[in-house]
Amino acid sequence: MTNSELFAVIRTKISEVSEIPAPEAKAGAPAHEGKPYRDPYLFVSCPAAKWTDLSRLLKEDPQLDFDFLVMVTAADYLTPEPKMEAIYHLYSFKHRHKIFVKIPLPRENGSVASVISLWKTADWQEREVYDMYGMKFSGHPNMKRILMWDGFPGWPLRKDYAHIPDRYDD
Amino acid sequence: MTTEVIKLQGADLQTEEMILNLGPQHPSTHGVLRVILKLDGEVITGADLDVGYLHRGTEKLAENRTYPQMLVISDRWDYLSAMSNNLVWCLAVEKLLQIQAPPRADYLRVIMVELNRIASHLVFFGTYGIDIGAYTPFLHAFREREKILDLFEEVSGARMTYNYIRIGGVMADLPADWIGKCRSFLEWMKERFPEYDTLLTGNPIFQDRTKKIGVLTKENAIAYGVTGPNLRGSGIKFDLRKDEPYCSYDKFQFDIPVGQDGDCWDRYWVRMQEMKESVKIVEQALDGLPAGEPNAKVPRILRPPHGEAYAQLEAPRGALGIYTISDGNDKPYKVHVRAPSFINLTMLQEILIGQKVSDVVATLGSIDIVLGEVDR
Repeated sequence: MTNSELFAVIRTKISEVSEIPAPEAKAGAPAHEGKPYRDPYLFVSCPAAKWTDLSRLLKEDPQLDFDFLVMVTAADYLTPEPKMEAIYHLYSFKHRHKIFVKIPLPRENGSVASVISLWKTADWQEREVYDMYGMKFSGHPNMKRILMWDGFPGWPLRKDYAHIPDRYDD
Repeated sequence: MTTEVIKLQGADLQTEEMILNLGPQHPSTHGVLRVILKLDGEVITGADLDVGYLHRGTEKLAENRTYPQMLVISDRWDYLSAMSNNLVWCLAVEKLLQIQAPPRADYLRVIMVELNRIASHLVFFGTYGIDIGAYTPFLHAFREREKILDLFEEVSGARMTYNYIRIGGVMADLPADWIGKCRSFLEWMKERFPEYDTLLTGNPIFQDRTKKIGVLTKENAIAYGVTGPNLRGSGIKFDLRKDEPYCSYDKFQFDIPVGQDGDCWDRYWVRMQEMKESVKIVEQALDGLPAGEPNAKVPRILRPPHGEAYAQLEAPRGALGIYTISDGNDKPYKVHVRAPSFINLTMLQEILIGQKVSDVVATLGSIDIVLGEVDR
């Protein structure tokens, strides 16, 4: 299926989902900056409240059938407005199509539904995102740090993370 | 007298769960990995994995380095196949910059990555033998790997952290008569495979220790996001070199070995066959090596336009991916490494349950993890 057909299938079931348009060159940007690049897959934005419905649809609808969760990550933005995004990349072995889902969240106390019941690989990947960005995944049975140690101060991959000097700095 | 009778009947026998720590410092964990096993007698009822001992904050480092500088750090993820790491980083940055490496660079990249795949699988072959209790294969495997590392040393100057594949091409063209040395190595290597079969593959003790052990079903393999030889061992024919060819992999003839049962034996067998396929690919690449420049024209200071890219390739351990966001600066805004070892290791907590303690090391070894990549 093409991207627009994929999006039409999703849109008929969940109307809150919107397509993220490909980035365009900023007006007045110098020529040497070149054209912005984005992979030719479908990028959708989904409100956090609808992610449970959308994830189930993506996994279980026979036309979509996204059975493989490739990766989970997040991105942190301070400008233009402070926000975070949880990013899911899915793939279908049967139909060979791909999708990126981005879920906008507030920077403080952001929470998104865990998809561990649909894709077991979300277990560690969501823990890693929590570890690095501090966003909670509700419904995850073991939501604690994975790469950093318990009691580590702060969320390392946030853009306003400040390193506190400790005994390893010398 | 009476107490003895009761004990025989088992009425007051106190049985309790035992906790056994495997690692973090244990040779069979292939690095610093801690597995907390819950045991009922000799049967495993639960396995908690503790990772992160080798965490170096790659993704944070990437945000503070320019694109070419990050290439040096990419060597340190999966240090047994640094060429794949170099390549995936270059593919991601080339996507953002929208440049294409010339055909000669593509072929050189394929040669290096495939030689590195053989070297990486040889380490698996050797260490897996040690895990099971056979020491000799290790010596054979490292003798062969040494020859590959010598070849790499000639082209890149390094034995483990190559930094050879660069954005837009490769570091330098091949040295004189390198192709001849590589060909004679391949010929020599082909005769080693039957030796391996007599050493380990055909050994009945080895087969008993691996067959029907650590079974990963097709459904679980997909649910756990497993890729690479582990996925193919479970009977799913998926290989990014065939399914989403990059670097002109579509020009080469090779097979994708696939297992049936998803047990340790199948994962082992798939890797052994993959080495033979890699030899075929390198031979074809040497035959068809195009003439020309090994480097594309790349600006001195890389400032990719704002945008995002996901690049992935078939590393020896599975699908290695880079997701990067550029904001137009000379440093990436965000980098995420989809490390196959990290994701493959997740399945261990499920497939260990119900097995005996003695099979833990056999199962862990068959997943073939590199802790540098798990923790990044």
